[in-house]
Amino acid sequence: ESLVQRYLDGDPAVALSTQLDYDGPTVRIRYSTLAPSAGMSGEFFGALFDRLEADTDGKIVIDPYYSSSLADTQAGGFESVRSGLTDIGTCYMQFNPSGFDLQFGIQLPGIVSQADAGLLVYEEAYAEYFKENYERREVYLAHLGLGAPNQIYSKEPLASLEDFEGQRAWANGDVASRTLTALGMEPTNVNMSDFYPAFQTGVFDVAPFHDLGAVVFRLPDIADYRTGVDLWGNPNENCMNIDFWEGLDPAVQEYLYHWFQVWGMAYTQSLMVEGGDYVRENVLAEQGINFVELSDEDQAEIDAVLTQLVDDWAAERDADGQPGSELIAMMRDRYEHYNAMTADERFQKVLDEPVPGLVNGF
Amino acid sequence: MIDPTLIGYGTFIVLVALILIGVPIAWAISGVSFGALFLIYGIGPTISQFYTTAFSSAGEFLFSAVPLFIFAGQLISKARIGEDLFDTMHKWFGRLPGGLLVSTVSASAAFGAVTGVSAAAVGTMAKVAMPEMIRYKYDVKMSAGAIACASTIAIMLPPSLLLILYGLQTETSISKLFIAGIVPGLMMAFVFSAYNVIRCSLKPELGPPGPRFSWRERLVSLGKLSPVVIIFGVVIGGLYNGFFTPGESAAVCAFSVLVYALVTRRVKLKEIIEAAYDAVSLSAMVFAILIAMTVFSRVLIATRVTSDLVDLISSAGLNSYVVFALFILLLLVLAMFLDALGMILLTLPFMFPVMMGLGFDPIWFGIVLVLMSEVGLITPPVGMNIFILSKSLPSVPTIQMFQGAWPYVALCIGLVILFTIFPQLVLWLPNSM
Amino acid sequence: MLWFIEKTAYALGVIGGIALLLPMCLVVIFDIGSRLLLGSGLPWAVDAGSVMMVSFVFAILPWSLVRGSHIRMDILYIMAGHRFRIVADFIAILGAATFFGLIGWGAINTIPRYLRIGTGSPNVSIPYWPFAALILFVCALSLVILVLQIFGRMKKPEQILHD
Ligand code: NA
Ligand code: NA
Repeated sequence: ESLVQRYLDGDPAVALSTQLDYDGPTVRIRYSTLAPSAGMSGEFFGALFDRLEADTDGKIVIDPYYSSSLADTQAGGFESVRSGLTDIGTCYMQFNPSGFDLQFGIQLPGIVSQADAGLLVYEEAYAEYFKENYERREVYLAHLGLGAPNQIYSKEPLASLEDFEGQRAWANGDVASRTLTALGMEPTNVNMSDFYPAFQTGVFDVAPFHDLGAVVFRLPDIADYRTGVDLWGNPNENCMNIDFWEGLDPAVQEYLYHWFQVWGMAYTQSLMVEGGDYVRENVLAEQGINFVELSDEDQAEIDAVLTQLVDDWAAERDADGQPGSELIAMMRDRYEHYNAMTADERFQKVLDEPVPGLVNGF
Repeated sequence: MIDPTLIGYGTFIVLVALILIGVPIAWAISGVSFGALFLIYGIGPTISQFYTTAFSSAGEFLFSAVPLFIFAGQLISKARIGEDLFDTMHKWFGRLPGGLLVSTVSASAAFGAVTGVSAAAVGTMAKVAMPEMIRYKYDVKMSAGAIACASTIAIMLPPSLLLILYGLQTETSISKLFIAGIVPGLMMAFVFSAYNVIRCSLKPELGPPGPRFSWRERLVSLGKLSPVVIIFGVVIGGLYNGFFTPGESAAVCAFSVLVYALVTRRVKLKEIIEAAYDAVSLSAMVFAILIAMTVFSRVLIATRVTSDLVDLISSAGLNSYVVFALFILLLLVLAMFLDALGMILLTLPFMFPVMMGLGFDPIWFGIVLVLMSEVGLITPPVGMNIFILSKSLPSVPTIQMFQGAWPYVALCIGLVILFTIFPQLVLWLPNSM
Repeated sequence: MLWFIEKTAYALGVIGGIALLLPMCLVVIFDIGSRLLLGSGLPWAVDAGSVMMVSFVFAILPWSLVRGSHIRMDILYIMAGHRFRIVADFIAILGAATFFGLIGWGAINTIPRYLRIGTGSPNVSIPYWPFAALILFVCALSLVILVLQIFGRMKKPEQILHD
């Protein structure tokens, strides 16, 4: 079993290095998320929050509110947390992209293929490049998460750039549109509530999704093929209310600062990496998905397109006076470093010590 | 601080009192939600809840179906397309007891294949069918009940926003849910029609049979159906061929009706503006309630009322069917206050795991839950479909419309019982695919 | 003052609301056309549809207050005496005032943040602040209408009911 699974199962040998040294009243934390309570995500959050409660002798308790039921978690995500409607909540930059630019660098295709290794890169980059801009929304970061790279789900087998040409593909956001356009497809945006019927009836024929998401969103009911090209991965940020954080006992702050990163890593490893591996190996084929294999030449052609895309993106930022190339170089370098570790080593690293600098004073 | 659960129960009592004394629904819900949120959170988060909810509810593109379908419905009425439609229906089925009521139910079901938003269906049918039934001297209560209730079929038949939502929240196959909705949706149409035929047979003055028409007259009248056939063909054909999405179908429908009416010179500019004015004034009511109700459902979440009740029911060690029956009861109570969307969001996270633990089928439960949430649209004190109808037809008191809707509530509960005894009715079609 | 308020509400709700219906249709039609004829949809269509809906919903609200077009359960209300109606109307106005007051206050809080961050729609970043400003204007106008209704300077819903 993996370390993250043992941690979620409550194995005392897999534990945070930080101990909670706190005797005050129980800290109850409202957490508002768009994730549903059922299925894999519900199981994950249940195990994670139980483990926190057990490790802190019931001194820190998370009250989750799923499916955006307590507050808006999308366009109003930052505002719900800023105002204190919830203590922590999903504050995704992809739902609020205005004012974010450099931070979308983490989403670019072709840099990260192992999401959990990418997460460690994202945390370092956040501390160095993104924090100030993120905190302009008058919240602090609780933790980051990183989705697995999106793959191409389609109704027809697509095995090359020629096959991609002219395909109408669902696109949401700037990086998605750029990537699909670069690959020769026609980005098509429909309202999220129309996503499913639009894919079913052929308003678009290609939906880029990561593997776990493909199962959760029932793509195999519609799509028949999956082309494995690691495209962009969606970053998932959770933020916290400033007054909530400042009002905590310093010992609770210290513990939570560390535990939040364990949360982010556990989320990314357990759901995105292991969950994705699981459905790829056990579920997708059974649900009727055929895996399209790319020849080496086709793969190389696609890689070249993606590399060019990243270089262009960086050059645009450089011209704009932002450290675009510097960020890309840093991310590539750090990704190589973290990707050389095993998943368990990465989880152990997070258990041992948090990345510093995500919140002032830590 | 006051116990949030207590605040939760308090909101129900105060809300009923305010609605009963005649405070407009939207303002009653707003006032009560404000009180509860303020007691729980203080002023800052309360402001934020109202503002973010208002901004995102108002900005939900899908809800543009409401003004646009209502606009289309008004135009269909003003261009006398609806009159032609019902004239034909009358010639063919007018001899049947309640023939026009059955026509209305069938038209609503057909309209349901286009839209997943019930408010849009009722807004359209109110203008198309209601004046015609009054013209043919049908009982007002019966007619209103049929329109308000048959429009709920739109949610059961694909495409259905609620079934999509249910599928995403529970990781249940949406395709299977869509297919599973077909038989219950058609059964609703059948049961609703049968109810009307039986009532009107017993009491013919409710739906007086018209004169007999010759086959020649009947066949000639079919020609008048052409605009409906063309418009419906454009919308449904485009929808199922992937030219546009369900959310976009309202705009396509409104636009094609407008073009048709202008090309055939069936409407004057003044009438177009009147149609738009009606869409505007009806939408104001709908959106004020919608925003207030979304805030209210979040109030209920914050007070944990539903989760506590579900815990109470599920931890009592009862027989699984007793638990289910109690859930239905709880849903009926919530149906009084919430719209279909709010009900699903409010109950699903708590009820679904319990139901699955008791061994019920997820697809079957999805259909039953959607059926129950449809009931919410036609029960007092907050019944959105009744309100829309009532605004379109100010001469009939709201209370009479609710009276006309009661039998349908009973029929829906009857269907839930039927589907519980014979779950194959729901599951046979999706499982045989 | 009274005349001005009514005309403003009318202009916003009736002229503005009606005028928005056609572009709301056309954006969708153009998007569909672009998809079918040119291959890809209009990148701004979803965002434009959404902000037009926000504008539409808020533009029509003040006029609906003037017209008293918000639905109520009128059983007791119709049967009850004058004094009862005054109480019910007063509570109704308070309820409406919470709705517009809180949303308007939210807009006041939010506009500076929208401006500072440049908050806008998700795909093509249509700035949100003008729409929040519209919401603020609508809420302020609605509150004035409610105040006028309390002091009897404008028709109360009761009178409209019996018109
Ligand atoms: Na439907
Ligand atoms: Na109801």
